[in-house]
Amino acid sequence: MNAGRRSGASRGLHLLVCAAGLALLTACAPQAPDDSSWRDQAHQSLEDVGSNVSTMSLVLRLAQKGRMFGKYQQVVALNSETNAGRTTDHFSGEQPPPQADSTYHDVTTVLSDASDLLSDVRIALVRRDSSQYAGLARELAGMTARLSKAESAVRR
Amino acid sequence: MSKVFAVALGVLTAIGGFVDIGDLVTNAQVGSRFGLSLAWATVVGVVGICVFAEMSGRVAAVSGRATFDLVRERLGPRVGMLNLLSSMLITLLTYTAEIGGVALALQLVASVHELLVVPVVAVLVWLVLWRAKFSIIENVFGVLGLALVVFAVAVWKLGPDYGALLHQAVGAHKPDDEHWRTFAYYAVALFGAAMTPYEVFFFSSGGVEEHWSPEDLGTMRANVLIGFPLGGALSLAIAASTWLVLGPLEISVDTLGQVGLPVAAALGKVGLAVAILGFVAATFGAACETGLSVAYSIAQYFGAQWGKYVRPKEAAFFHLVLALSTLLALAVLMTTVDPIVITEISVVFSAVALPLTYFPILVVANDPDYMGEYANGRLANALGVVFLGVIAVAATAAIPLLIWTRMGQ
Amino acid sequence: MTREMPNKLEGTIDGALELLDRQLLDVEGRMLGKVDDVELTQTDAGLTITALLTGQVALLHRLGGSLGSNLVTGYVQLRPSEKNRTRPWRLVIGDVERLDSALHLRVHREESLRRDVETFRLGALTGMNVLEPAGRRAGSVLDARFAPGAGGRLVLRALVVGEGHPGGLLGYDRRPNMGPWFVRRIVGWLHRNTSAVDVEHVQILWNNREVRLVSPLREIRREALRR
Repeated sequence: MNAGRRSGASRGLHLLVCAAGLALLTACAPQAPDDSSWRDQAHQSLEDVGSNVSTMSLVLRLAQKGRMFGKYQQVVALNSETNAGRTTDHFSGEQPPPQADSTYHDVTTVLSDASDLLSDVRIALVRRDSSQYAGLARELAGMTARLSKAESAVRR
Repeated sequence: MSKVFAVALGVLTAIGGFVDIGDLVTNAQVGSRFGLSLAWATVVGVVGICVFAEMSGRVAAVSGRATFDLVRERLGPRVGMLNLLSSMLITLLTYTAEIGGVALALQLVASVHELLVVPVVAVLVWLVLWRAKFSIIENVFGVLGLALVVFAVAVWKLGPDYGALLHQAVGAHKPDDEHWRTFAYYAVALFGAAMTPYEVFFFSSGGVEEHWSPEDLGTMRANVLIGFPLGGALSLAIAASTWLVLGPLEISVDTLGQVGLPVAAALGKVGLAVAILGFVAATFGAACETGLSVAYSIAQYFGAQWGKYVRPKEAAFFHLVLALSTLLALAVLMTTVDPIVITEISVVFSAVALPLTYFPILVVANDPDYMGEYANGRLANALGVVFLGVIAVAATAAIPLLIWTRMGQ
Repeated sequence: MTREMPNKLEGTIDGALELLDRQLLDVEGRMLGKVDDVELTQTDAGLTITALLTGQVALLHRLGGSLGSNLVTGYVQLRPSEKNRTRPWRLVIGDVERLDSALHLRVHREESLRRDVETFRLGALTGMNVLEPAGRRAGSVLDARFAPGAGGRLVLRALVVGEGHPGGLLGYDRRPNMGPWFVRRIVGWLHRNTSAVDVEHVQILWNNREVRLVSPLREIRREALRR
């Protein structure tokens, strides 16, 4: 039908313009050369794991004061540990640019140490092993400091 | 007592719009990162949804026509189909996420395996939608969802500097360590969440379910003016509580469990129990709202009998759609996808659905054939046109911001 | 329950705006579908509305253009054994009681639909190109105006011709003061060249899917669009 064909053609043109516009906008998303996008990722991973560690600290503190249910603290602890583990694995699997090899080593060490610590805290929390809590809280505080130091080192 | 229940529809609609699983986490995240500096976006959203919910409620009361019925009538079958598809994507994705959200909330109290609890929740939701009376659904979940007011109590217990909070909210003072584009992204996300189309589909269809007539316009307006501001207040309470407790620790919120931590810190086990009750009730209520909205929209597009005010066998198509969408939601959830990620994706489609939903409402609310003396006055029209403009801006900005900030990083 | 509204079938109506896509309600108020299309039959009085069409075939055609035709073909192919699957479900106009915000029938929904014949449809008429005698395109059919004729049935009186999509007038042409002001302005500007052409000046060529004017547009006495 004539009218249908005409509006079909103009509709096709509209779609093409929209698709081109969207492609242009996507291209405008901050695209950076490899090195700094890797650094952004390192920074983001450190930040994410830092958040997991802080969450775990808070959970531990609230558990010490008896302000949470066993199941609830278990779930939050487990989530923090799992998310940190996932971030660490994902980042370790990323290919670093050649000049960043030592930074890569430093960052992955911090991240895996943090993951291991989170596992230890989770185990203590699930066991309700309150004698461990004070020591673990200190270790978590230390880990938070290490993570911030690593973050500033990456930011250069 | 019955006066309280008279506004249950508005409260339940607001719960689905402001404190469903996606909003619970988003508000907590926004609070932790931005404090109350994005409160203005929630407020603008509350006003916007009040304006259009009042219009669609009035149309439903005066003419007996629900919103999606009108979308096809005014925009034609082709554009109506486009709206149906995009709204369906949002609403169906949200329905899926809500069922997942109920499962997440239940896992916070009971040791149940996720692959076991999700099918149970899905069947439970479907049974409620199939069998329970509409008034039971709105009364039970509307009232229980208000348990989330415990977040406001937690804020009060934490004894914050109210002056500083107010200053941050009114001046929209973005924290220094955050980018303007992330600020803009979350502003658009909060506004879009406040005005999701399924809220008006549910509210207007609910009005027809309750057999509203021109005499009920007062009740309808009470529903709007009490329900949505209450929902907005709950959102702000969650944001304030996470700003006070999680913000200083630089905690980024991405799980439901973290949302309850401020309440545990302020009020201990009792407060936490109330908060979890609120989570379960709000997500279940939102699941009912979104599930019904899927079926309402599809049935109203094709003109088939819809509604829980008739017996199921009189509305076979409607109940079939309900059952199939629950099955689809269950299938998606069994792939162990994170419900919270699902809600983030659905934001994308609101770019298309928002303008196509609200424009027909504005036109019909003015049509004297439908509305007679109840057609829009100058104020309603002025607000309607202004918000249509805001919606258009938000809709255009949504996808570019999503890409540019990589979903709010 | 809801407000008493006048029965529009007693006056002049615009088919695309007021009949198409309306909710159908049976005598008990139960819903049975939408007016997916309107059946037009040539009688002595002119092109008359004889039935309302509903159902998948009628709706698929309305999706328009090549999409619509392909979907209808697909629909027919889904069940090759069914005869006359292209025929739409019909609701004879005699079964219609009133038209206000929905179309109310005087029968029960269980006894309402027939699938016996196939004639012309309003959905095919809207969107057709309107050509002047010399061949120049004057616009497309945006809507069709019907008025009660002999025997009380609605007969085609005028075609609304202009640029744009059928139903794009949203009703602003019928009511000069319908709000909001902003939307009314924009719609008015978009349809500044739209007018209603009396049916005696047109020749509808259903097979070619076009409408031919008897004389050039500027020479035809045109109805003012607003009433």
